[in-house]
Parts: sequence; structure tokens; C-alpha cells
Amino acid sequence: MTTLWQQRPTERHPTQIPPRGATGKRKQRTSFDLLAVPLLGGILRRPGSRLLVQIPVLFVSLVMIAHAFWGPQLAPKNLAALLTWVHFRGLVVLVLLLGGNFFCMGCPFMLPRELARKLHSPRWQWPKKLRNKWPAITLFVGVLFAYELFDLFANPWWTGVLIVSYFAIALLVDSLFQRASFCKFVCPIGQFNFLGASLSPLEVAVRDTAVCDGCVTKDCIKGTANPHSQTGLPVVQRGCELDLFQPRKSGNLDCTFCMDCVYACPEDNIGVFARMPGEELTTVGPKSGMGIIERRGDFSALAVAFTFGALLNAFAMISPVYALENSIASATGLTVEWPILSAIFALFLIIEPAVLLGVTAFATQRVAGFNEGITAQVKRLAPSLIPIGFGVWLAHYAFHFLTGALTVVPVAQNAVRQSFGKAWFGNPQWQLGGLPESVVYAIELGFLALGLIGSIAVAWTLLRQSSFPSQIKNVERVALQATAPWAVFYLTLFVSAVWIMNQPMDMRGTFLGG
Amino acid sequence: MQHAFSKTFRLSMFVGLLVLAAVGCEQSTAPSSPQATGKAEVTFAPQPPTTGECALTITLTDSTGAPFKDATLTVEGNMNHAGMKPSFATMEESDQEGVYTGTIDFTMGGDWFLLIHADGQNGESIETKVDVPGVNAK
Repeated sequence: MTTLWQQRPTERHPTQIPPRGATGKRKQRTSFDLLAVPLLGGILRRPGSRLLVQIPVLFVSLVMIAHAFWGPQLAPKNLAALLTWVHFRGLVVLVLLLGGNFFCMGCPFMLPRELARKLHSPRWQWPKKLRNKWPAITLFVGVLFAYELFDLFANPWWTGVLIVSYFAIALLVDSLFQRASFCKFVCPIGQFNFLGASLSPLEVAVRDTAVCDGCVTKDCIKGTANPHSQTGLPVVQRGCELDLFQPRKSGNLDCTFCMDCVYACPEDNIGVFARMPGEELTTVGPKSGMGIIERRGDFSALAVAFTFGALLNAFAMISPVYALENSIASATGLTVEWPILSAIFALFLIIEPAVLLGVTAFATQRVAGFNEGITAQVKRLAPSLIPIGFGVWLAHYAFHFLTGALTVVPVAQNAVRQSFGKAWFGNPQWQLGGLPESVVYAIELGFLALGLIGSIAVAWTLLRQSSFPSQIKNVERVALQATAPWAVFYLTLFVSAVWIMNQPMDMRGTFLGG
Repeated sequence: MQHAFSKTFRLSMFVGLLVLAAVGCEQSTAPSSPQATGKAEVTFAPQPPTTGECALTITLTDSTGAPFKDATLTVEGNMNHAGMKPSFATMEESDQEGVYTGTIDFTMGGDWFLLIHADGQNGESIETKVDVPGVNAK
């Protein structure tokens, strides 16, 4: 595979650092750098520091697996069901909102893979035809579908199967294929985190691009070679396995916060910097390791699945979904759930987005007089879907997490008491719950409003960058007019989400009253 | 560095296996899902139950079918998904032997289940799980 860094025309010795970058656009970051924080920064810069997060998470994962298979098969009393569907999901979105992609950094699925790679080096390259987001989109939708069909939220055993399957697939894929094939092309949680991290306030980035302009070794992507070797092998510290070349990396898409680039850079020129959340969604053009995302149909489909999947996942927890299922069942005579659920998924993830996006792009075309085709416009504006989608995920998952955060205490107390026969953590305090729903409702509305504002702002910025016909004088005004249909579209999604959040929750695992 | 990684990794795997073994023993000390040793019949008012305070009547019979009277009764309501605080019913025995009445607060619509535990005066006990599917949201 050809990567951007291989195409760079010139290389300089590290000591020949010019006053400005080779591109003529020297960029020095002076914002807050997490790696410059005393103590914490020093720990994070040390190779292997990721293990400090991964090992505790692996430990918790093993406890969850054990409890899933051998613990009580009652979801409210089972650590696997509780931690997976309430705490993990809630903390993921909140950490993405407030920090960055630290859950990928702490991913426990990578530890068995690291061990396997010490025993056996993968030889194959990930197939060219699958070097896109389609496999991950399929799995992402598949997990959402399985979640509803098998009522995973109420089933500890199947939740355990899902966790073990994750470990097994990550191990299998990365044992067979080189680099981070699982993270980049397969992992649905990873894709969720990548899109969510585009709205994070922290980004792994280069401190001073001029230092990179003078770099010949490109360790951040090639890895650090053994200095005593003539061939450059073995690599003693790997570079970015997701093909993100730091000087040309833009934003958090496809970045797992693994810190390999930080460990590899001989100039200590990479940090974790504060930045404007969502700004990366407004940048167009080639991105290292990603290509031109506004031309990638798979990326647009991922953004659509992410956003409409958020609405569908929330819709599935309120009463109207059962009325819809029943009406489809009575109209078709079907008595099994999967074809009805498939129809609902097709309606919400394919037909509804196609109609809404098509009408919106058509309206924009007419209002602003764009020559750009509808499909091209939808692809270009697809990044603007992400803020409202993330807002809905935040509102939904934060609801479960904030209203049930403390339920982990009695469940853990109960697990210890039942496992060891002694109440080392005390007797279960079943009265512990979380914040009242009325308080959380206000927070949910705040997240949704942030998503709405973010989506409209990204759409407006992207449309301002359009090539308007030369005869148009008032470009700003036309850009605003072009944004209007997109604003209406996002307002529609916002109102839908508010309506869903206003419905009383109705979590049923039964279909047609069966 | 690689040696340190291997050492840390092996240690964490060892600890993990110990945890698996320890938690895996849970089933031997506590059944994962209570099995009925007697019988509990539950009725609600309104029927089907809706969210909010709901009156419930539980009729307990022992393994011989006789009324299970003068029992100390605990009724814990849970939703079938995780993350919700359980709801405990307050129960009293009615004038009729083995029939207990009380109220429970269904805090949310959806599928619930009741964990009923009754200790009799002569050391007998009943432990059972009763599904309450489709509590209607108001």
C-alpha cells in the first residue's frame, strides 16, 4: 500500500532544521499539552505506559467474562451486563467529550494480540478490497441489530459471548494481518470512537512542523530501527500502525491514542494538544492515512450509520417501537422478530437517510445554484452529521450512566459476597442508584443542543468553502441560504431526538407480548 | 523493554486466571437464578401493571400445596436490564392464610421480574422468580 509519507519528495538531515517548514507553513503548537503535565506527562511519554491503562481494563474484562458465564443470569445483578451496557458505554462518550480517545488507548483486546505477535509475526497484508470502512460498518450495524434482536442489555451470557468474540476476532485478525488491521478496518467500537473523537478537545499532534521537515528517519510511522543494524531491522519501537504520518495527520480520525508515534519520535516532537472540538470536520483535502474523506462513500456511510444508528438505538427503548413492530406484524402476518427488525433497520438506516439527505442536498442545490451533484454534496457534507449523531449517543448513554452509575457498588458487593462467601466489600447497598431523571433530562437536552449547533456550524463552514459561480457577489449570504436546508434537516433530527428522550422508557425483551 | 512487557503481561494473565477461577466458583455457592421450592402466585392491580405504585397480592403455597403462612416475605422488583435501582415491596399477610398484600413502585415501563423470598416459621423457605413482562408506561 502506498502511504503519503512515501511520496514525500525531499528529505533533510535532522540537524538541518529550516526556520520555516518545507511546505512554507510552519505550525507550532503552544496550546495545552497533556504530555507536558508534570508527572502524568512523564509517565505517558514512557514506552509501555499504555499498559498502565490496558492491564486494569483487561483485569476488569476478565472479571466481566467470568461473571457473564458463571455469575447470576439476571442483568441487574451481573457485572458483565451492567459494566458493558451502562458504565462502559457511558464513560466512553463522556471521556470522548471531555478528553479524547483514551478508551482505544486502554483497549484490552490488544494485549492478547501483542502476546501472539511475539510468538508469530503476521505475514499478510489486509486485502486491498477491504481497506475501507465497509467491514466495520457491517459489524457496527450488526452489533446494533444483535443488541435489539437478542436483547443483549438483558442477557449476561450473550454479553459475555460478545466480549469473548471481540477478543477472539481481534486476536485472529491481527495474528494473520500486519499492522493494526483490526483497529483500522474491522473494530466497530474503534470506528465509533474515531468519529466521536473528532469532537474531543485533545489531539495527538506534532509540536513543531519545522522539526518534521528536517526529519529523515520518519520514525513516527516507520518505527525506530535498531541503531546497530545495517538493514534497519528489527524495529525496536513501532511507528503508527494505522498509517497516520504525524506531519500530515489532521485530527483524531483513525487515531487510537496508542502513543506509538510519541515513543518513536526521536525529537520528542509529538504531544497531546488541546484544540477546538469538531474543527477537523471542516477541513477538506487529503488527510494522512485517510485520503480525501469527502470523496469516500464508505466514510459517508459510516457517518450516516453513526448518526441514524444513534436515533434508532434510542428509539428502540420507547413504546412506539413496539407499536411499529406490531403494525408490521399484523400487516404482513409475520410472527418472528428478525424480518420485522430488519425492515425497521432498513427504514431507519437506509430509506430515511437517503430521502432526508437527498431532499436536503436537492434544496441546497436549488437555493445556492450549485453545479455539484446530490451524491457529491452529501459526501462533502457527511462530516456535519457527526456532531448531532454524537449528541444523541451522548444523551442516550449518559442517561443510563448518570441514572445508574452507583448501581455497580451493590452489584460488585454482591458478586464478592457470592464468590468468596464473605462480604469483604460490605453487604449490597441496593438503594444506590444515580442522579434523578429530572436532572439528567436537562443534561440530555444540553448534549442534543450542542450536537445541533455543531452540525449546523460544520455544515455552514463546509458550504462557505464551496466554489460558487463567479457572478455571485454576496458569497456569505448565498452560503447562509445554502446552509438553510441543512439547518432544517438537523433541526428535524434534533426535534426527533428530543421527542424520543421525552418518551417514558419502555425496555422490553419480549416481542408481540410473547 | 520487551522483557519488562512480557513479565508484566504474564503476571497480569496469571492474576486474571486467578480472578476467573475465583469468580467462576460463584455458582457453587449461590444459584444463578432462584429455583422455586414452593409456589408463588402474583396478581396486580391494575392488571396489566402500569408504572408507579401498584398493588400486588402474593399467594404462597409450600411444596405440598398448603398455604405458607406467617412468613417473613421479601419482594424485590428489578427491570430485566442493568443499571436500575431495585424496587422493594412492602408486604403484609392478609386475613387469609398464605396471602400477602402490599405495593411496589414500578419506576419505568418495560419488562420486570420479582424475586420473592419467604422464610416460614418452621425453617422452610420459598425462593422464586416471577416475570412481569410489559409493565405499561403511563
